[in-house]
Amino acid sequence: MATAAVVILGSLIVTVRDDMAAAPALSEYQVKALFLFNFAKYVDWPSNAFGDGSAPIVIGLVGDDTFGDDVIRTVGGKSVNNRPVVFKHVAGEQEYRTCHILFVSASEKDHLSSILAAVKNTSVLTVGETDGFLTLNGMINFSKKDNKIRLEINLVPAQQANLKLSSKLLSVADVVLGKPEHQSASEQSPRQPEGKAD
Amino acid sequence: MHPLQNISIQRKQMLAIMLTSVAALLLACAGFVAYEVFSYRQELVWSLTSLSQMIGNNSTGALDFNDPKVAEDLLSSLRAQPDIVSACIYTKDGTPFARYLRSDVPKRYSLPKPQPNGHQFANGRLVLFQRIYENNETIGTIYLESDLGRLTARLKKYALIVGAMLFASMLAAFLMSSRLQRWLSQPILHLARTARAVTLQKNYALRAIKRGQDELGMLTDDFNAMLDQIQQQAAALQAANESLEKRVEDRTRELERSLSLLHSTIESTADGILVVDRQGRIATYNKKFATMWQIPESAIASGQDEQVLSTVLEQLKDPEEFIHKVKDLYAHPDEPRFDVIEFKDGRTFERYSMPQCLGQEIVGRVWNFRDITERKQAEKKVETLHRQLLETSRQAGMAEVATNVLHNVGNVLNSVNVSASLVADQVRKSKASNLGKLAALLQEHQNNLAAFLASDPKGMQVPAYLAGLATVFAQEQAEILKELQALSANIDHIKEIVAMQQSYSKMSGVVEEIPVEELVEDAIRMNNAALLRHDVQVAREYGEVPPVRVEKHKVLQILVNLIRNSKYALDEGGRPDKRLTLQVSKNGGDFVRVAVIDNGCGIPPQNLTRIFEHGFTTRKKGHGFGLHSGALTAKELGGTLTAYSDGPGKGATFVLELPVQSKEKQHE
Repeated sequence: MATAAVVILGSLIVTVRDDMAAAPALSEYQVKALFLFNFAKYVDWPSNAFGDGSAPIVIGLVGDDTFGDDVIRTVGGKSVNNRPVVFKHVAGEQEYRTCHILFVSASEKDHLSSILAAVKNTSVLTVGETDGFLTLNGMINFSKKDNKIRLEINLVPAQQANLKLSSKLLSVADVVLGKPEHQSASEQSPRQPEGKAD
Repeated sequence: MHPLQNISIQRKQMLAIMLTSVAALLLACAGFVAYEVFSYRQELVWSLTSLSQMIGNNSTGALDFNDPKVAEDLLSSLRAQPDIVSACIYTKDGTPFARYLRSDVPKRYSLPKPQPNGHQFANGRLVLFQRIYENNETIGTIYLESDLGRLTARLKKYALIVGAMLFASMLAAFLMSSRLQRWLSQPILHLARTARAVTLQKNYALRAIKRGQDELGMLTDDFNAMLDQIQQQAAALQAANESLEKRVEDRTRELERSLSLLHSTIESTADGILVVDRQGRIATYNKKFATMWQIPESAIASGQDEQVLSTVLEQLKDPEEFIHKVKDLYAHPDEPRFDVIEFKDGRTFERYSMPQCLGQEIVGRVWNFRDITERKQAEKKVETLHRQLLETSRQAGMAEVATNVLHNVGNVLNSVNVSASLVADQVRKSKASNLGKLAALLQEHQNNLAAFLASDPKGMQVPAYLAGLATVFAQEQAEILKELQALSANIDHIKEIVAMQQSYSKMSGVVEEIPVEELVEDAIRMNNAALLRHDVQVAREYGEVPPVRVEKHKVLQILVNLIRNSKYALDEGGRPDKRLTLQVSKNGGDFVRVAVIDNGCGIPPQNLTRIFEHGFTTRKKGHGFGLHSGALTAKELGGTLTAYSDGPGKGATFVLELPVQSKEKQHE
């Protein structure tokens, strides 16, 4: 399983770099699944977001199932910070709130406001794939650029949701809205995230 | 010798001090620099490791979200570290993700494949690989390559410092040692100068000055003490030399005296003397030697005995023998030798040679030559005389045989004479005259013969008388016949003896095969009369022997002589039972043994050997040739003649042994 993930990641890089031999391209959603999983590593949830120390990190998928079971299972078998990462399809406001990361598929383009409103004031990291997701107070949005998946981040809702996004995550984002919080001296990241405007 | 051995002691000392200080300094610097290099490298590894960990830590996001640009930005911060030549971030599967090259590095600079954590110094570079971990998982690898430019720069600085220190310390060492070495070298140089002065001037009164109580001070003391001793010894030596010279002078004079004595002694002797050393050089000789050998002065002057030898050899009869003997002598330097040398011109030398010893050692050989030509000639004359005498004796032997023959003939003639007288007597005393008377009586009575015979008293007796006469005549005839027979036998005997004598004298020199017994019998027969006369019992003990091949008369001569001797011995012994035994037996396969054994007067032991000597005799009238010539003859025949006796009065045995084959025959 892990090997498969590596192959996927490796293949991505291969496509990215010109001098690399061509490899079977990963599908857009396989990449997105990996990124969703990686968010778990770079985001700190408030301690009350989990039932106990070993409670799973739940990634909820809203809308059309574009990932496919294989991808979800592949990534979902792993854990972050001793917490298993679980993918599941969610529907209904109640279920939205049980997630730690909520991915809103492009198919829910018309329901974005209501979905985001449902998890407002909770510690749910909202991820979307629709232009204007950030303006609707979505936190992270997948965009496409040069046939690559890039990140856009809106820190304001995240900070409202009491989520701490690692500077490393911010550094790979094309767009960061809002200002990162000043962390305590000991935890302070040595570098300012690079804001890159398009 | 090492080239440094020849430089002065001052320089050696300075050299030693400076080399020592330089070596110590270099060693210290080497340790210091080695430590510096080691710690610098360690530090470099640490700093690279922490740098790689920091970069790895910061590149996780880029790797996770597949953003090489971020990673390259991160790596470009390495520009602040001019040592870093190249750097690379690899993904988990080993594909380069982001890389960094120093501005001076070409773009096609090839990067290695990722490796496990570790570092390696190679080709003046430090290469380091560090895995990037996240969430207990390896998500990539960082590669850093640093050059050692700073280290090189630092080492150059060190080399400068070390060089400067070296120069400074050498200068210091030179200055200090050139001053300090005087402590040591001054006394040594002083000592050396003093020793040199003593050697050159031979002045043992010089002394070195002592500068301190150290080892050099002690050396100076010892040196001075040594000079003291040398001075004393030189004085003593001088004195000893003077007395020695005196003694040598005395000895030389003594030696000259004894030499002149020796020389005049050598010259005054009648012999030729030559002394040769072990190497064959002539040590000394006398004039007589040179004269005797007719050796020119030049040959002797050469001093080599080989030259002398060569001039001498041509004079000799047998030069090879001479050389052989000389060589033999050189091979046995310790043996005295005596021999006789004969010259072509008839001279004869006696050579006596003795080793010349000096203590236990043989240093040469003394040759003594004596001209014995005259003596030899005299000896030759004596020998000739002797040979003549021997011939005489042999003739005397023959004469003896002849005497015997005549004697025997005489004896037989005696018998002949007796027989003849007897016959004559018989004839003279014969009754034949009575027969005449009877015939006359009968003629007287011719007419009345019958009456006469019948009536006449006288006539009546005639027939009886005739009968008696016939008897007497028959008796006489028988007696005369007997005597005549004896006479005839005796005459035959004489004929035989004469014939035998003739046969022996004729047969001289002819070798015949003869039975031994016959020879013995002949010998007995030749002495028969004498033996009978002296009443000697002759016993014969003849064994079975083969005939011998000899000259008959020679053997007979010996045997006749032996029997005659025995007869004399028996007479001399005076025993009533005179007994002569003749034994013939075999002695081995090759010899026949004839023993003549008597029980006569015997021979005293001191005479047992002498009796065979020439001219020895125990008889008053003997000439002493008998046994001597007998023994010689026996030898000639290839046999022996030996005598045995248990002493006076105990008889004697003479044994003649003859070879079955004659000597001549054996040689054929």
